[in-house]
Amino acid sequence: MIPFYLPTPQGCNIQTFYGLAGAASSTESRNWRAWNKPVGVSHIYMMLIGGGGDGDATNGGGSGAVTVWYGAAQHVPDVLQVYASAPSGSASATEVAYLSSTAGFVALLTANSSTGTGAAAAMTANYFTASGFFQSTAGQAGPAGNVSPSATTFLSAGAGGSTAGTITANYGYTANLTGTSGSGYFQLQPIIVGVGSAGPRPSAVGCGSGISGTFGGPGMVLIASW
Amino acid sequence: MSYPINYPTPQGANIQIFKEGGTTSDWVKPQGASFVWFTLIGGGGSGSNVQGGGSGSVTNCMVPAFLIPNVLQVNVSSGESVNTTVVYQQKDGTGYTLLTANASTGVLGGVASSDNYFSCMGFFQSVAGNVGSSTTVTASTTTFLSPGGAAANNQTSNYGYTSGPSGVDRDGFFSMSPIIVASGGMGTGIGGIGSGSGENNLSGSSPGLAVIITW
Repeated sequence: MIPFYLPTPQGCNIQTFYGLAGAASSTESRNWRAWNKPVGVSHIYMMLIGGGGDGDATNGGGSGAVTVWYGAAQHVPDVLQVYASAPSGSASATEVAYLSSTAGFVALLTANSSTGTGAAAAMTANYFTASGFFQSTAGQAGPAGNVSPSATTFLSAGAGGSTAGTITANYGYTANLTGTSGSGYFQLQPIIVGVGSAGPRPSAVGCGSGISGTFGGPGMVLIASW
Repeated sequence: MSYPINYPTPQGANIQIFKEGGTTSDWVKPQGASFVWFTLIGGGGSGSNVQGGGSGSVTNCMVPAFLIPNVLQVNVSSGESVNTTVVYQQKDGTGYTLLTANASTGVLGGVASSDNYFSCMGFFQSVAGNVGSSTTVTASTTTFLSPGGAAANNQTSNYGYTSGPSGVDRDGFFSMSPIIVASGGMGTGIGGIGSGSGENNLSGSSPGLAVIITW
């Protein structure tokens, strides 16, 4: 039998976890999934994206925070617990935790979700982040009209306004240029970027939804190791 | 059995260096890369007859290879007031600047750039350059690039490197190994990469540099 080998474009192991509908609470153990450290890796990179917020009658929903950590695999447990925020304005942050035999779920990294039109706040450095490089970036607040590209994050808010505003995200990606309504989208390639939605349409990973929408995007966790 | 002659590079990484000031080149992501490291150096400044030229800023960024484009455009500073940048060229022809290392503007140090929507997926640091000196140049405590100064005075870069004895006009230099360091020019001398020219070099300024490493 031929041992089929499907190479990835990268030399690393990449595992992604997306927020599940109905998994709205990180306090329920059924909403957690496990990440197992691949054998032989020496470096680990984690990216956490908080969920996007829902718009209200005036403003679009805010976008989630982005938290990244990079460090030695030696400093990371063999098994981590992962919770990615549910879509539609989950109050729970996206989280990577260590399941301690004595202390239960201990949060190592979080990326806050937007719970409405406000921008999700960045995470504060903690005991775990001291073991590597850490950065956390706040989301973008949902405006009352059109969305302009954020200067600090690649996740866009949802559009506001009495008529659904247009969305211009980073790198020229757009949504709803006709000013009626439009779904959001999220991509990893050719460059990572998320575009929020306008009107009553679903948003994308980490991005906000349009006015009166209840479709804020889910959270995500990406863990790469090599 | 043949002897397995092997000429390894000292590093296990792919290193691409863009050092021709004023040029625009494409960087192509190597197959199998997991992570990418950028070091950008802005051009140095020229002197003012009173003061040496300032040094350029240094910007470092590390991001996952699988979240960035396969091709990036690298613009290397030709000298003062021209920044070193990495640009994502969209298919519609629009360019989006991802990273910048600001060049010196005359005697002033290059200004540090800010974290942005690109670097938020990874780790970023930008360090400002130093202001040119009217007398002696001492080693900077914040950057490995040195500003320019006056011919009659001593010049000392980091790690004890120096452009030579005082009393004469002298050019600076730039070294990547054994450790990255540069010296500015003194008098009419021109600085090494990213470093300031001497106070009497009113029109010459040193170029920038970009190093992109993948592994």
